[in-house]
Amino acid sequence: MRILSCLLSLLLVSCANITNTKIAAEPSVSRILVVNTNNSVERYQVAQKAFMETLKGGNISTLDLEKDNHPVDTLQDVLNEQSYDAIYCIGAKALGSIDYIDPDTPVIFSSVLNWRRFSSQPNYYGVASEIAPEAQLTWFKYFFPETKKIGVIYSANNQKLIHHVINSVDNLSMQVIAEKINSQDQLAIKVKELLPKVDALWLISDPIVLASTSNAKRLFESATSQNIPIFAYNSFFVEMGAALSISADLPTTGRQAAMIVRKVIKNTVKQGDSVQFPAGSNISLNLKKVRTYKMMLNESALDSVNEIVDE
Amino acid sequence: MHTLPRCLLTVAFLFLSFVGLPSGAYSEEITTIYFYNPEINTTRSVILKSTFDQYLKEKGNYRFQPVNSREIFEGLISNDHKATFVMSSWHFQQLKNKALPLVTALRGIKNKDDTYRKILVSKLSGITPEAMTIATSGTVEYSRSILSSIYPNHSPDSLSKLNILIVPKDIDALMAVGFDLADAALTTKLSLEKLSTLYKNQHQQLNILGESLPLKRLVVIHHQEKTETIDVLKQMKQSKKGQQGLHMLGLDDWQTISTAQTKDRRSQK
Repeated sequence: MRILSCLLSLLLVSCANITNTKIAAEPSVSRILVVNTNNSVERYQVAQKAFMETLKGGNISTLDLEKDNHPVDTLQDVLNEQSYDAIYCIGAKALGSIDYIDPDTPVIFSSVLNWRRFSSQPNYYGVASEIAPEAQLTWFKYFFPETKKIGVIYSANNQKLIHHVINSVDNLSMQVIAEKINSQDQLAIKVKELLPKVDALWLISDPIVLASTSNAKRLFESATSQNIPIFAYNSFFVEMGAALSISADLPTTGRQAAMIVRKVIKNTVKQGDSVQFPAGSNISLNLKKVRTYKMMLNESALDSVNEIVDE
Repeated sequence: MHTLPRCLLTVAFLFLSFVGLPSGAYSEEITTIYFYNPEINTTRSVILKSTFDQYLKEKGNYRFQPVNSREIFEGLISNDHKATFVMSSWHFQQLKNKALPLVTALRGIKNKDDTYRKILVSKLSGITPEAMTIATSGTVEYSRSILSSIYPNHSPDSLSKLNILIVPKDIDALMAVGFDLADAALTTKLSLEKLSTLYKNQHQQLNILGESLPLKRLVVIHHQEKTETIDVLKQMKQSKKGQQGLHMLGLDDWQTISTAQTKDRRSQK
């Protein structure tokens, strides 16, 4: 019976899309499992590639969950088959599946939108999906030194973040004017109240403010009608009409995850450092909007831009 | 409009980067200006190409082609005698052993200076590089080379074990230190000054641990004594699109390197 069970286990593991980059490793070399939500999605693929390059020569197995309808079962089989020193999860499906199993192995994650849920979970480490809010504001000031009053609409989910930003923004000689909403219904009225008071509107990742595409569209329409530029956290919004977006550079995110893995294995992670903000930025600039709103652009900042929209 | 052609540009860029065909293979009339710079991150290749091509198309049959592999770029220098090359002076110095018949025509300048210095900054003081995670926007090889000039007493072996976190931009490296994502940043004085104008507290917290020797800015080279492409590059400052291209490279103009200067420098080496 035990032999049959072993054979079945081996069969299941071989069916899973698992790949080893270095098979014959010394016993002292740490074993790392990379679980990718969908390796055919560019943003996940890029993070994995940068991670693997940073830990080149390590004993790394990869598992792609793209077509896996039973990822928890697959992962459980993989973990039963071999023990790992660290597991790197890319994307929500990978992290959610591992979280369900809750292994003793340290888990490192990236490319997960609801990363805050895992930020205080023991044995979980990772890279947040957005650039640190203060860093975003620093970039805003770098590109548009004359833009001093930044408006932001947020819900209770981002209360802590906004409180922190308001306390630290003095260092940038900027003013953040924040309006809180408790439900989507309040969005239109709060936007109307906020826009006349600010030089630009800052979009943050907020599940109430951006609960739907129509919310986002209405927000853009209101801002456009009052000639107020929008600064955003993702380049997607530049195509919707934002003047500037500061998002995470994905290869850097993968490299940071690899460095966290090294620290976790060496047990040198500092207290309170379980989740890092991305260290690399990807910047999109909409020059058409810059001209439309007659914004004063720091031309020297162009050496930091990744994408220019100008039609 | 850059949004739609972005995919096309990416595909074209990757294809050209990997295939590395000489410019003459596409069309005899198009002159290619190849670009490779290990001092900066390559993630901006698509925007560099589109910005330069917008300027160059007004000047004639020229195209700008960033290359993301040192080997491919060096192969192009050896084989494509009709092309012009924009490259790092640090990299160019390393090619001197190959005895290629290259002419250095232009050098990039910023604030009228054709040199800059790299500095290592940290919130910590009295820390050795081995114990640090160092954020840098250059390649690992380039960053190690600069660190060896900052720490001349450290063995190449000890510097090869450094924890280096590659980030896209100098200011990213500085902010990584400011927000405790790295222990130190290998950056330029200019970037540190930029940050100080933006964020008072961060600059006050940062100590300069070491400084490199002066480094020359980008250089433009070609094989023959031809002036057309060089003239096109020299005129960049005179148009808005040209200025945008210069700013993308962190420059504000090109200065001419006379043949006499080049020969003098070679004989000094």
